[in-house]
Amino acid sequence: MDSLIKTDNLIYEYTKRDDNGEVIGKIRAVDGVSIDVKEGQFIAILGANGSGKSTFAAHLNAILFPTEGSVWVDGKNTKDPANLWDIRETAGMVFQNPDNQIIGQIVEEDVGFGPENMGIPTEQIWERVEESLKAVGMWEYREHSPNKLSGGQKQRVSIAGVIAMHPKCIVLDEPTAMLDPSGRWEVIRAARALNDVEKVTIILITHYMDEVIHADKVFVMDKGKIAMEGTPREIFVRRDELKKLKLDVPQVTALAHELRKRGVNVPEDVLTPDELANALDALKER
Amino acid sequence: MSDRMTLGQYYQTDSVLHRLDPRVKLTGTIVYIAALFVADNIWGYLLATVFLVTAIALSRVPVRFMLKGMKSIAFLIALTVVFNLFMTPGDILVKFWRLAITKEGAILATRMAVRLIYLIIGSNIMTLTTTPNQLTDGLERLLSPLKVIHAPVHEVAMMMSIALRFIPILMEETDKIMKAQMARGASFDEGGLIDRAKSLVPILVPLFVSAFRRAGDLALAMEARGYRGGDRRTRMKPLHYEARDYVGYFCLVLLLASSIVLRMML
Amino acid sequence: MAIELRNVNYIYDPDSTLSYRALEDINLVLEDGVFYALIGHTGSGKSTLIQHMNGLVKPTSGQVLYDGKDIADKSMDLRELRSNVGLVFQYPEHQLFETTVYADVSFGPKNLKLSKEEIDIRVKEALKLAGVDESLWEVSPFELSGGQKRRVAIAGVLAMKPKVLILDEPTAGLDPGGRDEILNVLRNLHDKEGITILLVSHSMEDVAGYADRIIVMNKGRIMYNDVPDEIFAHAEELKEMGLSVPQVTSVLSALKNKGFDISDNITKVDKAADEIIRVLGLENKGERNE
Repeated sequence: MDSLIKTDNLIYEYTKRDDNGEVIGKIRAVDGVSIDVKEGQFIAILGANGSGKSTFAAHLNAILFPTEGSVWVDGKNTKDPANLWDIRETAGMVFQNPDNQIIGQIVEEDVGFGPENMGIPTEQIWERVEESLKAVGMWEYREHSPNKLSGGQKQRVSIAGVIAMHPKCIVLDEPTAMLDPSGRWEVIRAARALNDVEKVTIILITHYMDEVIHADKVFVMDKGKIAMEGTPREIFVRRDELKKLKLDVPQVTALAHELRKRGVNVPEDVLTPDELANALDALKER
Repeated sequence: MSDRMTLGQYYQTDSVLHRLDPRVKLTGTIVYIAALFVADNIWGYLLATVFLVTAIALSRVPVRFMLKGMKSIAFLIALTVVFNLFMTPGDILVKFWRLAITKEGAILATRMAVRLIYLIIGSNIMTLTTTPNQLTDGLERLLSPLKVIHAPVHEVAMMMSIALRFIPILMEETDKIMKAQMARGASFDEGGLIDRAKSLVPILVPLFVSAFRRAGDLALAMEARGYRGGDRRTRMKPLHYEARDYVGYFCLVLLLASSIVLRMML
Repeated sequence: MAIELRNVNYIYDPDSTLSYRALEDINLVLEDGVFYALIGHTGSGKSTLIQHMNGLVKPTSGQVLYDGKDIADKSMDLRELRSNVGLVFQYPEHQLFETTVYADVSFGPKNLKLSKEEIDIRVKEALKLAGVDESLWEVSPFELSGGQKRRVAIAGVLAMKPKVLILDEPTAGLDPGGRDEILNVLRNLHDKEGITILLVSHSMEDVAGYADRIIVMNKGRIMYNDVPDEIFAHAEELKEMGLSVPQVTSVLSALKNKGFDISDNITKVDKAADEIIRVLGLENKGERNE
């Protein structure tokens, strides 16, 4: 597999000023992060508020540029201004607030915004809008005003707006933080479907643990650094470490942990209620 | 709150007027207003009436819906009528105490009321049958010759369309902020003028903070989706004229010409 | 009883084509000193309901009573009502406006026209109760983190000395650490200060561990009003309303479906573990390693 996104010792610092504009100090929001994302992977980046995960994500779309170190998107260094628009077409980005990223006043017009900026001919824009809205299950809403949609639907429109640019990778920066549970699932399902069916590489930034159980790989960030790295199962067994980072494990993993503590021989890395129920069922039959 | 505004809102249905190119509708509104001001006799007004009634019929927007929008400006019309009625010197028709209605005043008041009502209904038809996006697109294309003198036509059109998208969101937000402050015992209708002005601070500060945040977020989102100004952009819904649009322009020329002729002849 | 709603109906924009019934025949009594949770899908009428409780929204028909008095009554002082029934909205950004945290929290007591000394006492007390560190009191509220802003917003309402505190989604968007901090503040307010709490939430798992009673709303109606364990016995109905049950409840339901003689109305991890161990009969096998 080819490497699609690669960061090498990425450091991002910004200067903090007081009310009079005097420099108070430098803050290192991202501190030496090196990751390598292969094409077609579903990657999750977990972290508490203020862990630097969103600042890091903004580098992958060339919205922010490293103070030190480098970022390559599809082999192109983000530092080179000539690569800027190619990078933004390769790595699309979906943000947290559904209201603040929809530009169009009608769903289909919003999805067409990206392709319009890319200079795609009109007929092809319509094809792309159709396929993108269908991919996120929002085709019936193409003529609706975004203001009348639910939060989950708005985020799916935002995702469609990015897919219409035919990116190789989509970075979702806390896309579910402002949604209710059913809206969250709509968005996560849409992201997973894109990954499974269209083989789009997904980088999901979140602090909800139950959203990352299907990820190929999870990075946990703390104070700008990668604190943990592994598959969801490998990460979730390290419950105490996660707690220290203001994170938690899914309740079912906590239950498995509790049962093991009391001597019930269930696997420690269960991720779903069914898995645990099956494991307990098997115990009884023995 | 935003749901109650009917004046200037888009009314979704399928009609010839809805399908007409926004440039025709924009030009049409200007020509129609010009015709209203050119008219100085009953025939001129009759012509405008025929044009207006035809447009209303073609738009397939319920008349009730249109009139509801007029409610909010009824006061303005009443004010204009009263001013003209009593303030115009001339032959006195009726006199109460020190207020007199003159013949000239009555004529002028009627004329102003008709003009105002026709003007508002006319421009209302345009916004009822044209989405804000088509409107800004039409404006951008109509004004595009100004790009030669480096007027920021595309940027202004983009600003207009973004403003239109965020107005309902910010109105809803204002409502929420007011409620949040009322829950902390704020009231907005107590004390003198200065107290009332001061009581707006707890609403305006969160509102501005939020608006700036939204603006920043939106700029970022637009950049992330490859927006870099109007050059090199293609259009999902490009404007091009159909046969009906030429018919539309022809009707407009006819309207303007006949209203000039009616004024000069009669 | 603190708050009572009798046959409350609320219709949005009754005259327009967009009108719809947001609340339908609501009868509800909130008793003093109870920790309530209000759960429902977006659009179920939760937000409209809580805005009736402090008179921000007036019912289309029916009555809202505070302390036995109809709040629509002319003699009702709305400002006093709002200080007794504190309402914290979802986004702290909608209320923070002052230059310092301290000044912002004093906005409520100032509106109550209290003396300077009384305001100072209340503000400091409220900030402490909400767990806002003293080092932040003179900081601009706009520089705080999401979790800190929430706590300042809660303090802003606590400074009104409410007897009932209603919070709309106070943990939305917070990380698990921030969420636990807020929920612990609420538990403390309930246990130590005796404040009646009504917590509006989407998250069954959060609510199950804290609330004495859970009220479930769907399509403008109250569907259930019961203790947590009884509520989650309706797992299937809750799922149909677009609500999820806690994961431990799902595990127990799955086991029940597999033929285990197990009760599935348990919502907490340790109790679920007890139940599983009981059913598996593992308790006396000496397999415990602790």
